Amino acid sequence: MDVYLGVDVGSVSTNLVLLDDEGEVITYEYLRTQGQPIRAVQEGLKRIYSRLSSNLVVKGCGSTGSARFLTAAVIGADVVKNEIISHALAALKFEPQVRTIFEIGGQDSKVTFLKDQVVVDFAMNTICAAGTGSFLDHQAARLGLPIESFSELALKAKKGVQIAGRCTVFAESDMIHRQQTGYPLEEIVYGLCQALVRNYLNNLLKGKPVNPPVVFQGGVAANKGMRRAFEEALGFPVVVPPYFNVMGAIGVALLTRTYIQKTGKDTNFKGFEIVDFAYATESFYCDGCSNNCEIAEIRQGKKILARWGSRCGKWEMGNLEESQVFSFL
Amino acid sequence: MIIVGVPRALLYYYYFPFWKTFLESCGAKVILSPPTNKRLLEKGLELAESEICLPVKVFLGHVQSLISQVDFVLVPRVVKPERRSYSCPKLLGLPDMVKTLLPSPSALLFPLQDRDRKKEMAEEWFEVARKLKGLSFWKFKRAYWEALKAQKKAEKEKKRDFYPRNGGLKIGLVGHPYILNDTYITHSLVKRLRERGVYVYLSEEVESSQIRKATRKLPKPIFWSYEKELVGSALFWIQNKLIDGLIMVYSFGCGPDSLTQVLLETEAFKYGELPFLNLVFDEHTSEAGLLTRLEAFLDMLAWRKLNAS
Repeated sequence: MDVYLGVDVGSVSTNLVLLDDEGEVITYEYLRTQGQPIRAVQEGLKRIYSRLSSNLVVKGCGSTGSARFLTAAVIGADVVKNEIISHALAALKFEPQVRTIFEIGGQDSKVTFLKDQVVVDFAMNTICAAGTGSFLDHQAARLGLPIESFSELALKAKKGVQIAGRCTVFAESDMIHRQQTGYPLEEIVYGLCQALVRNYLNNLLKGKPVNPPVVFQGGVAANKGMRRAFEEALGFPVVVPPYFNVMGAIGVALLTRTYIQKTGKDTNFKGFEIVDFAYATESFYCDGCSNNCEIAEIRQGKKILARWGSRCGKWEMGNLEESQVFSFL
Repeated sequence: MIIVGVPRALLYYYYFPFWKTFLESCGAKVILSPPTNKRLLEKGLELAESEICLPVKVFLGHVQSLISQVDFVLVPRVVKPERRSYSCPKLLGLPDMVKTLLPSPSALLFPLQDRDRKKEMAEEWFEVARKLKGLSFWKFKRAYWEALKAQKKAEKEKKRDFYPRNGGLKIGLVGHPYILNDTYITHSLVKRLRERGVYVYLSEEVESSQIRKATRKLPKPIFWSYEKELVGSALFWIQNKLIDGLIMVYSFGCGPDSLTQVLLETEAFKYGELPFLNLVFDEHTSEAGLLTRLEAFLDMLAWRKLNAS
């Protein structure tokens, strides 16, 4: 059977999916990046490989997420695409009429607007990562709760207490204040969800109308408290798709599938052998001019796979451009 | 020969023709600091107070790099770039900031630029001329007039005609020239767009009469001159349907732009849901965040266009 591999390496999680010829999900893997994107990709591939029957042939692979270029160098991606487009393509698959996508990941949050199945606008958090997955993780850890029960707890609350969501530092001190004055934990936890939702809607939407259907995806969509807070704020239900936490990987795999099927090209995929290869990354300062650029280099054994970081471009090597595959949509 | 250093930052990108012409008529040699690089930025970050915006930090780095090689550094105090409208508060206080933060304030020249106080302005520039060489009043008058003329001419040369054109994406790029022209801060944003075959429209290319016309319908006039230019040029492109998308580039911590950005985003949405992208620059050295947003924005514009045709 022919399959397509999509890999999404983000700041917090690394996701891999395999799609069949029809674009349906065969299997997927969600793991933590833990600051080591290459190792996470190798581990994910290893897990997927162990579950596969031997008659599968990878016809194409694509990468997305903030480590998409690095991943492309490691796996030999046919298609490299940013996560905004990838997420939109995946959402369109599960909810073809989708008008609005809320996506909250480890360190970014974004909103994408669609019309007639085309992305017409998007907004992404700017400098501040307040209200993203990392912050929820941190708060759960501070309260000694696994993130899963954090989410359940928020559902139990009758109401949320008022918490400042503008900045995570303020939110945290507000939460501590509430907790020290005797508010029940579930109300604080739900209050936090409400604060994050308020912050999200204010910061990203800037008064633009939210049209249903709304698809809520990304790792944070697992948090039922966040979903409840969104639904209460909007006044209508939001859809959490079945594979909400690996949507980026699905999107880029779908794009790869279309690209390969339409061009008939052979894949550059380097094969599952790469899980055993040793990769080394190294960095050095270039002293060619007063910018002293920091150059990063990725090597597999003695072979240099990619190099980037120079402003003038003299060190750049490997695939550094996104694939221009729009005519295939 | 007296050497005067001009920091290649902030208002250099507006008034250099005026400054250069004037200083050279006074017999001074004008030298510029190098284009922003890592060392200059780091120096600026060290000197500046942390809450200030990035362009001011960069500016301080430029001043610092000049100080040892020149007799004077020119840091004019620009109060009103046009009648009844102000420059931003941080620019108003720039000479004071430089005086406090740098070790040799005696080497600074900070004449006034103010369209509502022409006499005082001329007096302060006469003072500069005296410090440099001692021009006679008549020679000064001529030098000053020539400099103002050179400025006008340079501004006029930047203007161009905009007309609806087919093919290729057209993007209005809104941002202060001192950010857009600084390839170090913006990771060569303009060049990247042009390499992708995008027609890039800049605020400084729009005629001031068009800017006035475009801002007429706003509920009230915009307080700051430079922001008026940004908003007016963007509205001009939007209202005349000249662009496929609008990108607003600003630095983290810019007070005026924090307002204009919201205003423009709302206006862009009102006129046919024109795609709008915010790019905020700060001390980040990694370009990953910029690239993701830019790629996604260009993809989206291409996708919309494909769908429309």
